[in-house]
Amino acid sequence: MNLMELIIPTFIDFFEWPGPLYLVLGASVGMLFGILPGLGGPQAVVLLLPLTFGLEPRLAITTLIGASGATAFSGSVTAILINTPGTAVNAATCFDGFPLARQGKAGMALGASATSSALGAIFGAIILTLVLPIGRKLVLAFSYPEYFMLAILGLSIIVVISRETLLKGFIAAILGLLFSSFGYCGITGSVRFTFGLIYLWDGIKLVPALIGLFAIAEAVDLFIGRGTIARTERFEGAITGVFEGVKSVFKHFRVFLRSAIIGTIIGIIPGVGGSVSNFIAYAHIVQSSKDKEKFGHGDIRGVIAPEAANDAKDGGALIPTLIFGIPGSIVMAVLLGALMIHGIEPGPRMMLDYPELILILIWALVFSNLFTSTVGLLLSLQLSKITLIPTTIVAPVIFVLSILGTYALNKMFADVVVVLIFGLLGFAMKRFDYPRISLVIALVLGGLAQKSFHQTIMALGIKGFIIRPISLGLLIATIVLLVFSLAKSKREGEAV
Amino acid sequence: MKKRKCFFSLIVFLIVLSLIVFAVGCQQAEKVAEEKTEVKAVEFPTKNITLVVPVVPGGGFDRCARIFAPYFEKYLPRKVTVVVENVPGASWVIGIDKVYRAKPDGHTIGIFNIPGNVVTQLVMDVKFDLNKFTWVGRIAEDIYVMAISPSSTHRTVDELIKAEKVKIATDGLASTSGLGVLITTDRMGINQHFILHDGSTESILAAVRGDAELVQYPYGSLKPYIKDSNELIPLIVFADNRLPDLPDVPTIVELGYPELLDVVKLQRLIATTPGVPEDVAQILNDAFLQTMNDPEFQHKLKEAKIDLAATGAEEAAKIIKNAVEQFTAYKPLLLEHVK
Repeated sequence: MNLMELIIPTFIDFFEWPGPLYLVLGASVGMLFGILPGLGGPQAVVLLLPLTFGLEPRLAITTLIGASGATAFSGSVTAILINTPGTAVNAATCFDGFPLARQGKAGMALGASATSSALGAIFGAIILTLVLPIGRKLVLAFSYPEYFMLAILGLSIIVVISRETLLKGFIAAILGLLFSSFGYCGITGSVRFTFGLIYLWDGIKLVPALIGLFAIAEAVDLFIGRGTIARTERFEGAITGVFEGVKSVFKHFRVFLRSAIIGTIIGIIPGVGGSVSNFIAYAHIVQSSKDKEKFGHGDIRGVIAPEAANDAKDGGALIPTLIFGIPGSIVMAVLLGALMIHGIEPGPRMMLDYPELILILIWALVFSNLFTSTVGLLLSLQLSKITLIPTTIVAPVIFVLSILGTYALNKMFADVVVVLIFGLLGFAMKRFDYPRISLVIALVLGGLAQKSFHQTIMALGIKGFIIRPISLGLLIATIVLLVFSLAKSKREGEAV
Repeated sequence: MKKRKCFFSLIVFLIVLSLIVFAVGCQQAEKVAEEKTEVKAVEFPTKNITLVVPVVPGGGFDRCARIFAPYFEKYLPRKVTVVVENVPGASWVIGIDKVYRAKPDGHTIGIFNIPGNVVTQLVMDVKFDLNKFTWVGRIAEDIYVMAISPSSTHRTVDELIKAEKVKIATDGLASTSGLGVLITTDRMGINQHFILHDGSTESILAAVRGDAELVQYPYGSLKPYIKDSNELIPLIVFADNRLPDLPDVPTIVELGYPELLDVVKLQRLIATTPGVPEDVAQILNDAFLQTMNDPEFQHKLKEAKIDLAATGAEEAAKIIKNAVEQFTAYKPLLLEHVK
């Protein structure tokens, strides 16, 4: 097998000077962008793109992959410390990461996130290498009905994660679905809820909504609450906390492994998007655990699962990108553009014509994650001290950074307005105990569900949902998930 | 404790104050610079030029703009940077609006998608008028190919016309590609059944999977599936002459629809804000034409699979005028499909 034989030679090529230099450059920019709420992988790669024009393809790929690989872990830093996902893929890390920080265990959460991210990326890269030869068939197996069923499966997770407040969870989810229907729908040609504003043609964008719901709401809440983020006197500042976090990943290795598998599979499917993988992994781990009630109150498994999934998905997402030239995300689209500027056309021939480049890319993905996680581990002790700073100082900083980050994203003032409106909504939801994450899941998946539903009807008719095995399987999985969670919560209700 | 709090508040206050002073200072510095330059009118460019790309990074137009920018800046009489800025949103409208409303000093230029932007102007309630822009030139023109999926039972145009229903995959019908396939199949009398997607790659994939039968896209996008993996069968080439790559595939002219040649194509044009002074427009146009003749630029464009088809400012303006006239004729058909 051609690809396997090249693994070692490309490894040596990868470390040929100045390769590592460009990796560190890319990863550093990626880390910075990952930490700032609003800015993320897409902005980092776009910033670096012009710089790579003059480089040879090998170094260009190293720089860009280095940057995009670094963002997923960096985004978890803010998710854990200030309950604000640094990028969209870290949203699920907030559920348990932030409660850990409140308990004074920020170091442990960061350690677990760094380890889980690095191992997740390595897992994704291994699967990518193994699956590439048959990746084509995998991608083609998923069509409109499968996309729809995945979206429905994702939505059903709302039931799992809002066990205690099911009704409020539904209300939040319906609100999210309503927001996801805003704007111009290319499939039906209809324009909804734009209130005469051209800005709303694109609907409610995920990033400003996320920043508002989490960062702004959190900043306001922290400011009112006073005190420090770590609510306990017992701050585990010592290096042992971080080390314990590292160890926890190995202690819960099955949790890690299952999440990484979920992340990789979701990454492979084009059009579903990486922002879903962390939710599905989290929900799966909660659902399959015996002691569900611990989640949401600072369970380390709740940090391991989403971080493993969101880093493993990069490996998966490269499969459709390289084999079909179909980008699964903006980061992948920019990478495709960079490849084409260098005269390399992703597509059916890529595997045959440029196997070395594919492997260099995989190495870059692995080492960018290793580098970021190492830096993260080294800094985590210092970073976790943020939770000891009085919130009256932290909150304004979060506020300003969030607004600046949003504006920097597209330089559109309307985005800032969306952030403020969602900030208000998020604060109200937090105060009255409505799960914000249900709203986010519905907002992310509503569009996909709607689009793929129409496409299924157009292409296959209503029977399309049940005549295809994968689609039917996903449907059954959804029903089983729902029946079990509802039965269980009923039983628990009776027991109480 | 209280003392400490006061101290912190003071620091925060000082930081905010210094930021404000800094911001105001910056603004004034800019103003002074602008006033200075207004004395000599012909000096251009006096600051960095913004090249607006009205779509998200990564696509063909973004690629084209990013290849164009560094060469264009090389041929400008004064040393400035051409900064590519992605302003996506509302199917190009937000980015185009930005160029339209910019100060008419030539420091804001944009890349345009014709005929897609013409259709947007016709069916959407937009504030700009494409005919009013100061056109700089055309960079490229892509040749379209109609292809069918091997899973379809049809193999020729005649069979498609006779078929009861042909599943066509495309992105929004108001896009350049969507409109092209809408008009083509309408003119041929094919019973259309559209399956719509968010982007061209998604709809091409639908045809590769066999969920759709017919696609019509620029040859560059379809080539990997036609030449390399035989997952799509080419049917028609939208050009005057057959492509050297596809010698057995008839052109649309041979099939007797030469009028479709003007409609089914994708052009990449550069324009600046309406009302830019003539001498400034001339400088932009000269630099543009020099860029088009740069062998290194031509090579880069070719590597990125974009077909160079350079024209100057006058012809570009004519292309726009013709396109607006032509598509106005198709407006009833358009409105029937695009709300």
